[in-house]
Amino acid sequence: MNGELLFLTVLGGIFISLFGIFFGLLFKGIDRKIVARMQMRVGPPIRQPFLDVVKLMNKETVLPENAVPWMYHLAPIVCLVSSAILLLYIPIPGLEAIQLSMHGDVILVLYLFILSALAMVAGGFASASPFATVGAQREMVTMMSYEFPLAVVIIGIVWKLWNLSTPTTKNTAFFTLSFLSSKPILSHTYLLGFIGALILLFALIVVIPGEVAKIPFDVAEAETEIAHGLLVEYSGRNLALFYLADGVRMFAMASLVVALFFPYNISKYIALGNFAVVADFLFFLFKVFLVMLFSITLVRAGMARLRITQVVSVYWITITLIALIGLVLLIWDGDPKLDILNIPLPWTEV
Amino acid sequence: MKYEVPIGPIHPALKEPIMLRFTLEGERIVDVDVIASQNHRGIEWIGMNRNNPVQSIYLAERICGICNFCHPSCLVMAVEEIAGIESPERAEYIRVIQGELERIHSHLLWAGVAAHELGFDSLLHYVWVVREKVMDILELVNGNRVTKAIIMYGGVRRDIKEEHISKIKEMLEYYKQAFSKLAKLFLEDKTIKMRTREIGILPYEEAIKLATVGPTTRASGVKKDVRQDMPYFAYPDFEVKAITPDMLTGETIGDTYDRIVVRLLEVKQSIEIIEQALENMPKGDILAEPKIIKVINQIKKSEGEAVGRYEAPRGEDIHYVKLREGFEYLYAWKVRAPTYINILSWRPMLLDMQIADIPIVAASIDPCISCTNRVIVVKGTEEKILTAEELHKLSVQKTRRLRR
Amino acid sequence: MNAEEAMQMFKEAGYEAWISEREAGVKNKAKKKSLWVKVDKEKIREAVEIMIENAEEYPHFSIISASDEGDNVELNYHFTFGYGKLLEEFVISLKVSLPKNALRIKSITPIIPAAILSEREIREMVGVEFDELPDKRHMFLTKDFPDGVYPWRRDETAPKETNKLYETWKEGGK
Repeated sequence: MNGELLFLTVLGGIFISLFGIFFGLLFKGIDRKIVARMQMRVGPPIRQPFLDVVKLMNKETVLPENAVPWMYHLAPIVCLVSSAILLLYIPIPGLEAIQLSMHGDVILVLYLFILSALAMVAGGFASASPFATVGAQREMVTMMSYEFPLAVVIIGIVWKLWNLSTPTTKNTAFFTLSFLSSKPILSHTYLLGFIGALILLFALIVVIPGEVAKIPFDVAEAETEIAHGLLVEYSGRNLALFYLADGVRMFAMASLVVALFFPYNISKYIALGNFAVVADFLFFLFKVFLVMLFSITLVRAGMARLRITQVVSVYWITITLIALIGLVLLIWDGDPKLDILNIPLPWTEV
Repeated sequence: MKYEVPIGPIHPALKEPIMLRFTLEGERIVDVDVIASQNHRGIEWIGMNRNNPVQSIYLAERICGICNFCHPSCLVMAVEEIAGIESPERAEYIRVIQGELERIHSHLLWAGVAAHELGFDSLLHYVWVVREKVMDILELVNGNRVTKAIIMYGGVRRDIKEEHISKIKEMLEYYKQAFSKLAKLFLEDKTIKMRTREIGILPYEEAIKLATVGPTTRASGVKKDVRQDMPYFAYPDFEVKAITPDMLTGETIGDTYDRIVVRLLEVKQSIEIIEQALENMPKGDILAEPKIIKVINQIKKSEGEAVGRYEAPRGEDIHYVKLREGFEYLYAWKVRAPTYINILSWRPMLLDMQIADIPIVAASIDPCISCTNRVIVVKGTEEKILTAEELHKLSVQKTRRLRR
Repeated sequence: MNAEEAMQMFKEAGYEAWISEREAGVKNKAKKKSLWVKVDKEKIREAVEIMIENAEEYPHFSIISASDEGDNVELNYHFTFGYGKLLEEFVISLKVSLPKNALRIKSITPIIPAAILSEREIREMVGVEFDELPDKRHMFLTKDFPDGVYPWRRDETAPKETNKLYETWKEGGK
């Protein structure tokens, strides 16, 4: 890698972090506004998250007496950085030039999600408060519960598309997100696989609130139970970093769903000439917004918080079973032995 | 591994200062200790040493912001019994209506809080929007939403006028419609059921032994309601029946869900009582003796003791009052708010539950603990308790600093 | 059991008892009854046990109230009786007089568990010592509340320096 490329990559990294933070906060504001309207409140202005961050940045950062200082201060940074890196790998139309792509980045993305959650756990344990400790334990348990269905979903899609790919792509592009999003699963399957993919999509949508710690799976931060658990001791700049990371994670998670299931671009269907890139980008944002609306905002407004045991049983039993059924349907899809069921759908392109 | 988690005195689940110290094993609760001494405002002391009996009515109103009709009613009942003051018939009816309006608003307030404890904020906001209707009526009739200063020895201070009645009836219609929706939201929602069924069970025997009162005890199947058991105001006219959860669900478990059921049914019951009361309200005076000085003198001249009991939204209020001839203040005054006795039921309810159940179970008795007047500063193992004067001094210092 | 029967029951057991009444209701008149029973301080548990044995339902303990009667402190143990039936409940108050030089009485917490908070409160507010009370911490007053100061008494043990707030206010006005 020569100097110029390195420079560009670093610059790209900074740009994409700022991009993620901006849209993370913006979507957070929209989310809060919609929830407020659903609850018959006026709600904060959409720019409120930005104001919150500015205010938190100006506040004093308090270090609890018994905390482990280095871990306590490091955790928010790790959390934010790992969330921001996510966006370097999740394909965003219009930003391909500065994004990275490499063999196996699907797995990398999964680990980056875990890393940012682990940073929160470390921060919780480091802050030496009983509430934060309970919160950290809960976060770990939640993480362990949603990882399995999440893995099933990702593996299912990757496996299916790998089967479809030609020998040349098999070696190079296999297991990269950019390859997965160039072959949307929903239009590369027959009826059975389509249903299977939809089931996987549903499982993934249910995993999102757990992944980004929102109701009904926000047990780790449960305000009325353990007073914001993990974050109870955090204040000032450190809290602001966690706040930013939360926004970025939400945005990244929704982008991942878009990249895996809905990577369709609007420019393919409408001739837009020079505006094609801009239109694709805006369309992408719109898709991300829709995913967030259905997986976070509406769910958050319409449910009560579950108990930790219920969270585990929902993920480990219900959602895992659902995901496995989806996986089985994907495996059967296109199988010559089940030829009667291989009904091509109008949009199928195999 | 056992460890301790303190909930309170300041905690998002508790709206008022009380402290629960939990011993936990993982997420399971193995021991509970309630430490109440976070606040004591010395209200009884003020009533016994500083206020004349009429001033004490308004002091009693401030025992609890939500039950601001119950406590003064209790005091008034006890004093009226000793001094032999009779209130006009219309006043007794107005007292009933005021009490039931308060019950509606208190139960709806609780329902909202309960939803919030479960993390169901949309329901919280919906319930509180519904609650605004009764608050508007309270404001219309009394000129104030809380601390309404409506009751007086020998009657009430403000009448329910003709133009109010149509507004109240309109409100009742609104609540009849809202009730079915609320019942559906609370009783059929799956997540609420998951979080409240079989959680925080208080068996019948425990409910009786621990002398619990109000919806807490009725949810365990004890048919105890002062409005039914022991007459006061105009309640004998209405033949109130104590509500138990089996009236709706067919069985009594005594869990948090049952306590929701009881409170919802009581809202409906209150609507019916108000309707009946508006229909049958007699005409006439609302106050036996409008001159306050005369009332004070009459009370000063009387001697004796009595117990006032009132079914507040949270349970039974009891005031014991003793008067001495020629003594300016209440000679003895003991206030027993419902939460005082219901706190005991937290222990059997919470044992073996999870941390996640603490807020909703603690809230399920509808605790009302009132405001604090001191702060404990903990540094290491040393504790220093700041008194009201010290706190006041500190705040004066801070104001001066800010002014500069 | 109604109030008259309860009075008879206590009289047979050798206690002094009387009833006070008050009417309530507008169209349906009903009598609200309170039964008052004088109990010697040694006999407090016996009196409570009489109630437990003879009641259809477990007697509902309400509260203990206290008043300073000069040389004595009078405790009132309030119970309610006969709940669950329309307009038939009544209050039983057991009156116990304790001389100020011997403020000791047996705790009823072992037989009525609900009394624990109330006994703790009376202990700190009036200074009555309860024998066999399992938990003797302060209930409402703070841990560092001085010994020998009892807010509900009307003698030299009542708190003297109260209400400093207004003086601070005056000083602060400078």
